[in-house]
Amino acid sequence: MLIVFFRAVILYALIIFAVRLMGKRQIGELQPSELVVTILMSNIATLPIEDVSIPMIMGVVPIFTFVCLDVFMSQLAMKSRRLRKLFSGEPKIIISEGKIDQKVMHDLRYTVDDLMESLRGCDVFDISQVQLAVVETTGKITVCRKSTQDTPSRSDMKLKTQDADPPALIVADGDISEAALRLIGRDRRWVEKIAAAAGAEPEDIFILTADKQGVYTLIRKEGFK
Amino acid sequence: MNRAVVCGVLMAVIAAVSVGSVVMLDRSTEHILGLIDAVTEAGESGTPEEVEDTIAALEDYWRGHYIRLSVIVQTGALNDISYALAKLRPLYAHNADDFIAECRGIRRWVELICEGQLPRVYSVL
Repeated sequence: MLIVFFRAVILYALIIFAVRLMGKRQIGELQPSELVVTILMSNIATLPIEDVSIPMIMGVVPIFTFVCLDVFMSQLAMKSRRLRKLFSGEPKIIISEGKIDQKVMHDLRYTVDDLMESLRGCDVFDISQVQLAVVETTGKITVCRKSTQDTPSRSDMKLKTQDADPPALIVADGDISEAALRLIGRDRRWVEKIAAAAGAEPEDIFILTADKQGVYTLIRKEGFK
Repeated sequence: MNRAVVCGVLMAVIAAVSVGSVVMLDRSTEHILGLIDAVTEAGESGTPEEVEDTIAALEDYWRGHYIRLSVIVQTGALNDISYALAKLRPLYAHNADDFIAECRGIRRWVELICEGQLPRVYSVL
């Protein structure tokens, strides 16, 4: 029992390291090669945990071999479009100029239900609103609506606005983020001043967000007097 | 550090550990086969003291060898050899004909474990 426990702890740490090594893309949308690695990794990791007669190295070696190969392949794919196409495939246009390409749908083995479901996932409930739809290499659909159906932007409405970064999270549960302060061009003393104005110490702040203009939102920890 | 560099280092470590384990296995198998042959020869034409000494040497080496091998080989196969080794003394004490057969069996088991780890085409496929 203890062997299983220790192996589970070690493999947990190793798999987290392996997934981190694969990069952020792995956590979000899976390319075909990454999906294969993820499935294999989860299967292989369970073998030495379930069967203590299997040496743990028999699980660790293939996991890291797969991850390393995946990283090497993605590095190569970055340098060559042809390789990228080979490993990940290429996006397919499934609706063009408002017209469904049934051949592409057939090639992708995409049913009408699949298409409608994917469109609903993009907040499109009426297919006649779609100008262009692309099936990405991850299998996800991205949609460009017809201009008559699209949400008007501020520039369409001739509204004068200034581009600005959204507020940054400066204090989270009393913890001041130096990186966020640098982002908005302020320092720790500014936080102390803001906190003092609210009759609190920085440690008593639950959330403090602020933008470059110095506009801030402060929420104090509950129970603070 | 660059991911590719980390992966390169990891692959190098994996390759080194893999090759190292095969070399270690090859050397220790050669040694243990020599010990098994010594037990067999003593059983065929040696004195009981010689048999006792050679079995003790074999068991002693096997203890360390088992731990090293258990890192790279399933322990099921290793346990089978341990059971067979434990049977050698009683078999010899009862002048059983099976003694030599058991020695030959252990020898083959050890060879098979080593052969199973060598990256031959049929093993890979």
